[in-house]
Amino acid sequence: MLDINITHVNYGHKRLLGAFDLSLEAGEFVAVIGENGAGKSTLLNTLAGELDYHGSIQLNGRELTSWIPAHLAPVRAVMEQKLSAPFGLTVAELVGMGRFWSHEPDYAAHQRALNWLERLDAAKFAERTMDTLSGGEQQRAHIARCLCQLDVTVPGEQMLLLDEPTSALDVYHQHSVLAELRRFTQQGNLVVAVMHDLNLASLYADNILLLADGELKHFAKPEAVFRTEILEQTYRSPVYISEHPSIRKPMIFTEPRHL
Amino acid sequence: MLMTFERRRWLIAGTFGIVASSWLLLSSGPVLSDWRLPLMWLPGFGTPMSELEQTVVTQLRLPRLVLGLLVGAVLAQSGTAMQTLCRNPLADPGLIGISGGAAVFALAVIALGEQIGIQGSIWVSLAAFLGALLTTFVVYRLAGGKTGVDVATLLLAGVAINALAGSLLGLLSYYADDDALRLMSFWQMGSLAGASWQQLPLGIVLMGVSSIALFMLRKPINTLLLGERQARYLGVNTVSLKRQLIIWVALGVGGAVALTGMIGFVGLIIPHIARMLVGANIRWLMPVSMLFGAAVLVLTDWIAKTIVAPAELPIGIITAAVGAPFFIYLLIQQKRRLHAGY
Repeated sequence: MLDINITHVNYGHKRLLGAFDLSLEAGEFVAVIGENGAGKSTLLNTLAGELDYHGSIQLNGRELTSWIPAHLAPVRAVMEQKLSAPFGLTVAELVGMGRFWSHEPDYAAHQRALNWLERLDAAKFAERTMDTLSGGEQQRAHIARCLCQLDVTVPGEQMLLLDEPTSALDVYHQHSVLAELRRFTQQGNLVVAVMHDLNLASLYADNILLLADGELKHFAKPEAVFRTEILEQTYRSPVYISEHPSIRKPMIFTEPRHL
Repeated sequence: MLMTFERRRWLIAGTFGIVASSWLLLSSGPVLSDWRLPLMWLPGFGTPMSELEQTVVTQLRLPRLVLGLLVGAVLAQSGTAMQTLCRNPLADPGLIGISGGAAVFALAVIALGEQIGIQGSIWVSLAAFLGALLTTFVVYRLAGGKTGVDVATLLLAGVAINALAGSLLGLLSYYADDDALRLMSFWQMGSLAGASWQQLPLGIVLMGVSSIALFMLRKPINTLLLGERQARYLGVNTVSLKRQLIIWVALGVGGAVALTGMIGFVGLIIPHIARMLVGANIRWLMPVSMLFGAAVLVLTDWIAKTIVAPAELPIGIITAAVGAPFFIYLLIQQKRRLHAGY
């Protein structure tokens, strides 16, 4: 569904990303992990079409650069790391803005927005303004906006790019949001999410994409990437790996550092 | 929905403001004051107007009122649009040099038009539009970067363009004759005293087109609240949107400047106050700003022509006297990063 075949991404003379050659399939949940500054957000921005790349990135068989925004909007939504919270804009209005491409009337967009807020357990602050919300609430509002944007009658072949979607969420909402994203992938869609919580990535992602210094190091199932030697090298810390008692996914434990 | 109710209240308040200030402007002034004057139009209501009243109200006050409403609404609307585009409350058409650019071009036609054979209000308006367009484009280009508009550069570019405009205006005044000179000095401070039925149709067309066009664009403009990048993700062709926005703002501000000269700070204060009342959502912010802008400009115009009667103060003196301190207040607020909207 998303075929990436690039030699590099530069900004001026500075190399941001190295060679990538991989295909992400519909129905996949891909977690992008790596150290701070490893190029995770850069990769996401490249996939969003914000950076010039050398090579080709094809979404549904069409080169990314040849899509126009109006055609891209129903197939692809992006949640940036830095979220905007405009003064006096209500949550329902923000989520309804996701419907811009559809030209549906305001009340229809509003109704759809409320549905998505309901599903993300955010209906109770639908009429509050964005600037009055906590960080976690803002995050849920923006996730609802993305899902509302991609809400179509025949789902499938759609892509959702998320930069740290659960960083400000409590445990309950981490799981409810990730479950909602899983459901989205099960409809034949692709989710690419930058994540820092390795255990959550292990529980929800189909594949882990590990970056270091702008290079693709590993792209495989959690069981294959979450190995002691790989993680110790990446994060420069002692790591113990065990298995989740009920669902048999790798669980990662780290050591406290003593002064 | 509490929010909708609250916002609708401000729409109603703005409408009342327009009715009240219009009534004030029509019924009182340096010569004839009678609060019943607007009512005398209604057939069968009290005494019909005398001939003098007839002339004063329909030939002097009414065109002035229409012009004031239009200019106020358009300046506030352009301010709203520019502020949303730049994501900064300091982007006022006057401050960033659009009005100055429009004025230079228009005054060049007034001062030199006779020698090169172009005269008349159509050419003046056209020149004002071109001047506004050119400066908007230059300022936006100078301040625009990959990550959006840099506000410091925007304001500094405005300072530079205003200074340049000032010097060009000074230069033009050497070449102007006495009549043109009087017009020019009046212009630099702005005034609605020249309003007449002859020049109004042109103003209505220029500002009307700009206003309607900007109003139609309110949905895509609204997405800019989330940043240019996110607007693109939502499906907006931001390149085309920005281009259109600049053209319509230039047309509106150019039209306003051509008819009334440089009236500063309206595009700064009104959208800011409106934003504090109804929030940044353009769906509410734009109409409320327009209503408030129209009402406030008419009220200010009434003050300008009454406060030193029988003489008249240029309206720009009053808007600047209120606006400049307000601008400083905004700067301080920005410095403290208290401003939550942008």
